[in-house]
Amino acid sequence: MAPQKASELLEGLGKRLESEEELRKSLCASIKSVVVFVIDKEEWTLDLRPGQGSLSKGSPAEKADLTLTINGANFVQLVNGKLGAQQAFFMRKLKISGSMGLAMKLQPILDAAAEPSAKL
Amino acid sequence: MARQMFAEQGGQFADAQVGALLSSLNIDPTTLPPSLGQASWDNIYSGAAGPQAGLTDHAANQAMMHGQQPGAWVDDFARLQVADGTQSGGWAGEFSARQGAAQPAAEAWAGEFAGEVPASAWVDDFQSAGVAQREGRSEVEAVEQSRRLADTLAANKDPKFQNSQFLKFISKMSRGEVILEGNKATEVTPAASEWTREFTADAAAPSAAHGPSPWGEEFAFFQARAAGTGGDWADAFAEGVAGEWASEFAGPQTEDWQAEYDAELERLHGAQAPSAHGGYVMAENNPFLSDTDSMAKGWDLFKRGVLTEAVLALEAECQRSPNNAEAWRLLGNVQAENDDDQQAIAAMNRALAIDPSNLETLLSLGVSHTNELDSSEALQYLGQWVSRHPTHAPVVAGIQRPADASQSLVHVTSLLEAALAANPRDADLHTALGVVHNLARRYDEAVQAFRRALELRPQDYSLWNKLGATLANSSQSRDAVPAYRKALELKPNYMRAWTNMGISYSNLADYDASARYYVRALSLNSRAAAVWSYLRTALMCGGRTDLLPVAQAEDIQRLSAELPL
Repeated sequence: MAPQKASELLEGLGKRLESEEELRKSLCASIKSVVVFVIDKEEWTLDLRPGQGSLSKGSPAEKADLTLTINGANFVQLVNGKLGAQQAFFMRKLKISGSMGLAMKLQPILDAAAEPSAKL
Repeated sequence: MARQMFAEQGGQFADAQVGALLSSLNIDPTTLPPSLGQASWDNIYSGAAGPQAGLTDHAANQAMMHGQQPGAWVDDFARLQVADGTQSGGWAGEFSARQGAAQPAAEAWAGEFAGEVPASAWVDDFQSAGVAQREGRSEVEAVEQSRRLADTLAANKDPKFQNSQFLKFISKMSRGEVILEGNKATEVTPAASEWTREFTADAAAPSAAHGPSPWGEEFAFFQARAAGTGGDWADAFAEGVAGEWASEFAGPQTEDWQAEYDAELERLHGAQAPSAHGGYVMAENNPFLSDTDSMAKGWDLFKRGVLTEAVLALEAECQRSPNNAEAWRLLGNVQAENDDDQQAIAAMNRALAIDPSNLETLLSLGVSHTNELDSSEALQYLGQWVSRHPTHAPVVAGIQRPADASQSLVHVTSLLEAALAANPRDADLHTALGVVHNLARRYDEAVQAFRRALELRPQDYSLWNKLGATLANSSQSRDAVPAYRKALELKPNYMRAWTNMGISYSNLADYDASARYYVRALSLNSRAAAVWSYLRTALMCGGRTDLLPVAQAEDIQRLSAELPL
């Protein structure tokens, strides 16, 4: 798990969304919304509305359905499974505003952002 | 597990769980303690009110900001008052009464709760969580549900009970990952005072409020806790919750989960149609099906490292003789080397159903479940392995099993360490301990354990791979490469090690090398869907988009020609 920077993980996710049609379709089918990550004051817009499926840097053109605020180090931990989403929330490391129903569906996004792990 | 269940069963399942919790919380109001010690409640109020005098203003400001959103809560409680005016002791009734006396404050509270989230969003989310509905259900029902909740929270004086029920509710919510936006203004303050503060803002208007003491005790508990640690409330709370969550899994409400889990386990171990979910998926058009010598051929192909053919031969053997535990076990091994832990687990489950005490099967299941991040199952198999091992069983027999499943990581670690103290030169023990350390993300200890195992068994290619994978997963990909290289020297067709090599180069941002290793891995096992996905990512990141269509078409010959090692 070398890319220990949030931006690298997100760029990787963006690339996977580009090259992996199945991933794109499944995420759009389950999320159906615009999700914004605010990481170290930088915004990343994940457009997972049906027919979309892209990640771009910067604010969304329309209002985000869910905004997640977290610092870079914690985001890396979250993606690598070293920090659980609910744990992060309770520890106030993760701030959520917007639809809570949507926040429940966060995990597939985090999984998709994770680098593959080596198997024993 | 919760996450997995949620993912599989979706929101409706979470709804059902929350619904079950609420009805389980329904305690008869007649059981309310006759006299609620208002002293402690009042103490909390006055204690918290001092330093937070300015808060009412803050809340009022928020209420003004959100003035157009009077708040579903207030409405609900207003209705509650109408429907339930007779109930004197309950918190809900009290709230309603106070609402009459202190309308602005109540609104402030509602506004504060609304925070940045529009009131309608709250309502939507509560509807979807099945906690309360404003429109969908009848008013009576919504009132009834609110009342149940309020009753319950007031019904028992025992702080321990209070606390655990409360935490259960919180954890239910978080299990369903219903997440609330907290109060921004109070981020660094301990929670007890923060929560109390909300009530204080509410209670600032003179009122004859007599809060039921359990609430007070609960806040006192939190306050004491936060004060005791002197640190961030959230950390203290998270710690407290963690323990409760674990015990909750043993609680009565989860009996149906247990039953479900047992049924699933039985199904996995049972002789089911191979295509069933979680079962082993056989290849179609297997040329070995008519070969009566498939077992011997499977062994031979496996030893020579021709893994894809070995899989086919062993699958044919397993289809013809479904009770051949050794064939299933070997098939599981080959699938693990082919980097397919799900198939490996499915095959090993069949082997274990036939021969429940086979040590190699138990150890392999521990490893494969570790790779799949199922730590509770992995620990269960590793614990069984050491407990059933003829050499180690007598050593670990005296070690007590913890009642709580959350302790199994500590428990299995202590079993293995005890066995190692008696048999320090047992490579399998070092290996198992290394796997457990991986589960616990104690990578340095894991590396140490695998190195010890390798001192005893330097020709074990799978150990070299385990060492490499552990290094890679602890962000030491550069050191992982020589370990994988050693594994591949010993077993050139070890598909898993080729894949892991690709992952390491990808982690080192050498996408060209990474893609070459993935292609080599796929030439050994083209059924590995995950590796195809890794390859496409490596091609994207390495700027070889020209090869993406070739990868999409899974044209391994052309890829091997374009990207030789």
